[in-house]
Amino acid sequence: MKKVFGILTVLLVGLTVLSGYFFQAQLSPVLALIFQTGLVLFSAAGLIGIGYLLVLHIRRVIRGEKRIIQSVVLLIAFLIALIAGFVLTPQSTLYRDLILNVQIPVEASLLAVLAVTLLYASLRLIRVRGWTPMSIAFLGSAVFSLVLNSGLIQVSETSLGGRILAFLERLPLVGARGILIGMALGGLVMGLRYLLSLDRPYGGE
Amino acid sequence: MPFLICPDCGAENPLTAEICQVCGASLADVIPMDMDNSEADDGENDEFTLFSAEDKDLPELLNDLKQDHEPAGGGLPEIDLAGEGESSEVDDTPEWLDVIRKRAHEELDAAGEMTQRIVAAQESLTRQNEEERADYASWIEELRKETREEAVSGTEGQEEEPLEGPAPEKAKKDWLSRVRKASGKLETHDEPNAASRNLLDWLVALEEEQTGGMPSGEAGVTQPVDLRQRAHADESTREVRVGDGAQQAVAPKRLDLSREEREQADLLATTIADESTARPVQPITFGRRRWWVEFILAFFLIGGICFVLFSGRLFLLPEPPVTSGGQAVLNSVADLPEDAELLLVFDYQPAFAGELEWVAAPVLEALPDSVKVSVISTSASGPLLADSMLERLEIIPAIDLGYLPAEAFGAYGLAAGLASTQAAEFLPKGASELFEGEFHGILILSDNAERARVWVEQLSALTPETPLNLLVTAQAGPMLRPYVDSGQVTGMMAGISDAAGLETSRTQGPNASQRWQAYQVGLLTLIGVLILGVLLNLRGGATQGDDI
Amino acid sequence: MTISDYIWSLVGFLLTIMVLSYLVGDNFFFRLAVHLFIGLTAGYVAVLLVRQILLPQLVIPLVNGSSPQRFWLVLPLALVLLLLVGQIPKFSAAAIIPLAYLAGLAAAIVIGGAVFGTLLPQSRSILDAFDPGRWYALPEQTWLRILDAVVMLFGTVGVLSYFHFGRKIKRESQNDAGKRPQILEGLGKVGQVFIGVTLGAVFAGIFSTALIALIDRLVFIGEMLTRILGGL
Repeated sequence: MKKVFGILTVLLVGLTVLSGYFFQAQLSPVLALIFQTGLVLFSAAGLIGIGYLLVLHIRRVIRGEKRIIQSVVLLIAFLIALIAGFVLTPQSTLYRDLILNVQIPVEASLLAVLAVTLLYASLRLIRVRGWTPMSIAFLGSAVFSLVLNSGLIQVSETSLGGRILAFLERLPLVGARGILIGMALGGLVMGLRYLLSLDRPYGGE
Repeated sequence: MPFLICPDCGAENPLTAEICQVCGASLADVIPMDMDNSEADDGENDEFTLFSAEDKDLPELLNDLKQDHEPAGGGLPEIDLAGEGESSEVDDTPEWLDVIRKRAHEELDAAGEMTQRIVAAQESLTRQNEEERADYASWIEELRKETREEAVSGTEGQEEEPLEGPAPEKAKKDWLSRVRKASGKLETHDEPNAASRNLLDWLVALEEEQTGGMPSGEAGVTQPVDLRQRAHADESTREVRVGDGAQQAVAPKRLDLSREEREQADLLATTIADESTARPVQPITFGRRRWWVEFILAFFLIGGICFVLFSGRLFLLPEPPVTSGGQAVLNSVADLPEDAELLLVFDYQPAFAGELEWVAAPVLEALPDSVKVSVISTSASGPLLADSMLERLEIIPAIDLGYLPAEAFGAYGLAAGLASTQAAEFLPKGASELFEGEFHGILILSDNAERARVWVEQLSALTPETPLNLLVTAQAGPMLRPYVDSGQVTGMMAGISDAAGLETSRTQGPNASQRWQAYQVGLLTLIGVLILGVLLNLRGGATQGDDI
Repeated sequence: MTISDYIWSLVGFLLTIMVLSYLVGDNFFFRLAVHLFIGLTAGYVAVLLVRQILLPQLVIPLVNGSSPQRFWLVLPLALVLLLLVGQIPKFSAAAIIPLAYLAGLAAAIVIGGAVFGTLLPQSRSILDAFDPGRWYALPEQTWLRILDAVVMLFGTVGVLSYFHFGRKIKRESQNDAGKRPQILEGLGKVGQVFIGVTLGAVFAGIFSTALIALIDRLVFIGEMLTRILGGL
């Protein structure tokens, strides 16, 4: 019985939204209701996810497990952000500085570490992958793109060299298009499997 | 061809045999038989159609037995419990056994056919439901009881009423009693030919096997039976020797397969056996990660960048180019009508704030003052990043549409709102604004090809007429180019390569040239490392255990 | 520079050093910085969800809204309550309907976007490249455009063939058991090359982005050190 409710819900919502791609004007009020309900549900689901994170770290603190200091720091930071957010509001400059001056340095630094890691990975590329058509094409394309991005080669677009350069510049487009079409086909199949309840990630098995 | 028929089990033996090859009985006094002589019996054996050419299936036979002794289309001869009916020939050998032998002699594959039929019968029996089996079992039980009772009463009757029929009638009754005794419930009498009880016994044993009554011996292995002993109800199979003595004993369940089928069966068996075998996991190693190599590379990269950034010198590296992508976006923004409404979508993480500010600055600074800017975010930090960037560029948004979770959902909601012609009155204010918007252009700032792709898909599906421009990081550019090529996106600036050539406060600000040259040095370092990696592995790659 | 700017810059500087210390190896300071980041972000997101969505879209209209608004809010309210109740293990079945709602919504959005946003336009673009009008629009580039169209078609089909997982229907020998049809194998090899080309361009882009982040961090560290040392 639970299964039936789940299947009916998926079908009803899914088919209505799909119909909205064809009958936008006629279904506008229904789509608006579906959208608003989804908005609220997504937010509630997000809060539940944050709740699970907190419960995990609270359990770690209570049980005195390893890395308890990090969990305490996490919980304290959460409380500060939560209380400040409700007191100061996200529009406040102080609150914005509090959040961005932690997020930007940490995330940007993690990305900076990636630059060094990619450099090391480039050195071992052929050792790991060997001389295959894909690795040779990868190398050639990477070097060519890096040269173009650095602005070392600048030619007029109307010249022969410019036209050849433009043709070579379009080659990554071919693979990207194939990958995008493949991804779209995969997404289509998965979406249909969800709608037809062949896969039920929401439970109800 | 003459042969010897064992008096106990009825098996055929070569002329030279002294004892039966099946049961071990002595063949000293046995008269050789010739299969040709048994052809005269054909006419009277037509009734017995178990293994006849009319292709009586065993299931049908069993069904016939279940029914009230009415064979279908000339099946088994009626089991005349009252002792009436026609008799067989003078021979002690039952007619049906003669037919079996004849067929085995005439058809080389008779044994195979029989076993195939046995297998088919077994399969059909397994398909029957429990009720039928139960009924059948109970019917067999009843039959045994009846035959036991009637055999007892028949024996008494025989003493009271002398036989009126001819001698074969008496032989048939003997045969019949032997069949009844084969069920294992009757007292054994002197049996001139124990093989006559084989059929029913075999059928009963077959049925028992299907219902779970396995023989006491090894499962699936047939064992020769000494038929001089009392039949045991739990034995399921008996070897029956047919054909000439040169043939091997036939395993009742052997199937006749073609070569291709055998190969496929072998392959399947091997695959199944291979599935459960333990395999040692051998991780492939391509050399240990050398921390000192990574340190040296980091030193060169960071050192080179710092040298360019802080030395205050400008090196002989080319100025940033003006690319067609950047120019297209600028032109699109510049073509906006007066009092146009432009929507800015902030969909990137704080890590990319520096790059996107560099990319977006020339475009946002080129906006006419009359353009009304609306802002929406689909990343969590989007509202804060939008405030920060717009404050630095001194742009005041007219409408802040807030935050929408899940970029796909947010993109759909916005696009559906743009596509609809009316807003629902019941909607709260925040959501209703989405459904009242009308924009002359949309600018999406994104760090990720996947998130930007979702926006492009929804907007081009629902509002294809609204011009769409992308301001993305360098990592997102290559995977979004197909959308520019197909016309779904009007223009795209990907990374600072597209933006650095444009005149902006950022490119003309402090350290702008040093930052660009540091960027060039970093890219050249990577090019050098890639070429070095190729040169170091010219002889080959993907070797295990080697270190850099 | 105000005191608050100085304090925030110092916080950013310390966090940058703590995270960059990962270059040396995983350590306590790196993990501390990451946990601080996670906690702060979780708190901020919770505030955002409550203040930007749940309060204005659900709670305030329920309390202060008109009757039609309250009526239409019954559905989202019921689904949210079911979702919350479903977190209790005993009543986990209650979460099926709200999760099914989200699944149906997501599936439909993905299908619509995939078909109308990617499959149809991209396929049309491949076919449009064979339009003779486009070939002869610029006479000096005709052959280049024809070559471009052919390469685009074969390359795209090749990439799709590379990701095709199928088998031969008619097998001529035992060795054909796990093989694809030969034409797909051939096209797949062509597709491999184009995939390598695309991934190479993506790799260059990723490195460019990471490099800009590194440059920004180094500039920031340099400015902070100058400020600190200058202050001394």
